[in-house]
Amino acid sequence: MPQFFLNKRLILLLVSIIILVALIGFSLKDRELTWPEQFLKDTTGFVQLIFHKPAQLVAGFFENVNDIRNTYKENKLLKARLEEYVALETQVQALKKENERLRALLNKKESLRDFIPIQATVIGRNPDRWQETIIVNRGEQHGVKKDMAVITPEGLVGKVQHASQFTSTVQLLSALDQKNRISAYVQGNENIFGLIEGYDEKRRALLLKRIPFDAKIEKKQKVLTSGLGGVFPKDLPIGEVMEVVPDQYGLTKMVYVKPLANFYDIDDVIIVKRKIDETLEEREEAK
Amino acid sequence: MKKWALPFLAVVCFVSESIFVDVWPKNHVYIDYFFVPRFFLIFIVFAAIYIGQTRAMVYGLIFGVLYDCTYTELLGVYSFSFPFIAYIAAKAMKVLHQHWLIACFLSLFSIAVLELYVYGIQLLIGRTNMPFQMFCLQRLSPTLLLNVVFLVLLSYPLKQQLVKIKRLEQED
Repeated sequence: MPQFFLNKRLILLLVSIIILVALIGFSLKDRELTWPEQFLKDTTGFVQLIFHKPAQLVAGFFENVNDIRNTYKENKLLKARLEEYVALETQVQALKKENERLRALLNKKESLRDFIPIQATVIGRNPDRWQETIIVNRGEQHGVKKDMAVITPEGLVGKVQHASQFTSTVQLLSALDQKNRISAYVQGNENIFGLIEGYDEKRRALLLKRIPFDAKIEKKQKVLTSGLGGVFPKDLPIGEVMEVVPDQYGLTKMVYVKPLANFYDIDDVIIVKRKIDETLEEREEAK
Repeated sequence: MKKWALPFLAVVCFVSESIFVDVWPKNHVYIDYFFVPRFFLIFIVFAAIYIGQTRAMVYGLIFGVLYDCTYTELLGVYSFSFPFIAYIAAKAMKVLHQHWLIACFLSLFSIAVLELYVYGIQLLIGRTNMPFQMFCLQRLSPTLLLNVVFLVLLSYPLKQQLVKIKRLEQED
């Protein structure tokens, strides 16, 4: 093929490679989405929503058929758990009331724990799966902002990577991202604070690092968000302690945390907006 | 109506990738092996062969940009490779015999090239630390397998459809 690398084409190819490198460099920066990107994303999101509904109906039908086979066993188990649940429920109610009363006594209205849930449905996934991300049908117009926590009823699954006007991209906790740090603590007699940094793909566990070396941690203890990171509310469940090991340098400990939520099988999520931020915003506006 | 047949086909191929991943049962196979649907790439290769080089490249560029914006948020990767593969496919067809089976093999080849190219870029920018052997085992071979199944089932109807679109255009 002698005419394959004609001069004009070769130049075109080189120019496009330069543009490619420049664009990759541009998109690697820590940035907000530009408006053309947001527009494209929202438009595709709309088309996806149209196609997604019937596809999910069909898939849901097969899942239902599969579920029916296990119904008897599950029902038995659930009935046993129901009584426990009632006892727990009354306890929670009593504690809630007491908490409210004590708060009123202290005149402390805000808590890091309170949040406003934004319900969202998954409308797409990144098909090339180099980064595990999902696309949900709620965006800035509904109050979603960058870095907000995303949970399912089981626990934390990720955070909002980018929010455009009507859709947003959720980065799952299993993504390999050094910047993805979450302030968390191990629940016990004494709460032990650390940072969730990274994910071990082989063991399918999150890594909770920077724990004091003399901290006493046992297996099966719960790990929750601490709310100190600035964006996430307090006490969102993350997982359970799987194993405690000394850190690379032996100065601190590292905990393998088994996530409570399934990162892969997600249909509906809740995007969590801290109430304390809302009240702060209102106050600023009032000024 | 005739005018919209090709864009509609492109949109269907494009959206079906995402939906396919979403409705695929999320069991251990899903977590351990990466079955990446590359239906749109197959469409691009077939379009380059049966419709024409320029149009395939334009479609590749438009949907490549869409792919980058909506899914990966890493601009440039697919908007560069889709037109490039369309170009290569069209050029290769000048040498090769135009046959459905050859088109299938060509699309498989381009899927492998695309996977390697994206892997290289991800490795370069540090988004992955997957060793090459793992990449071949967990990503390349399952992806090729999935797309072979797609090719066997749907590439012939796709080809017929494209040929029909082309014929109707030529009649006008």
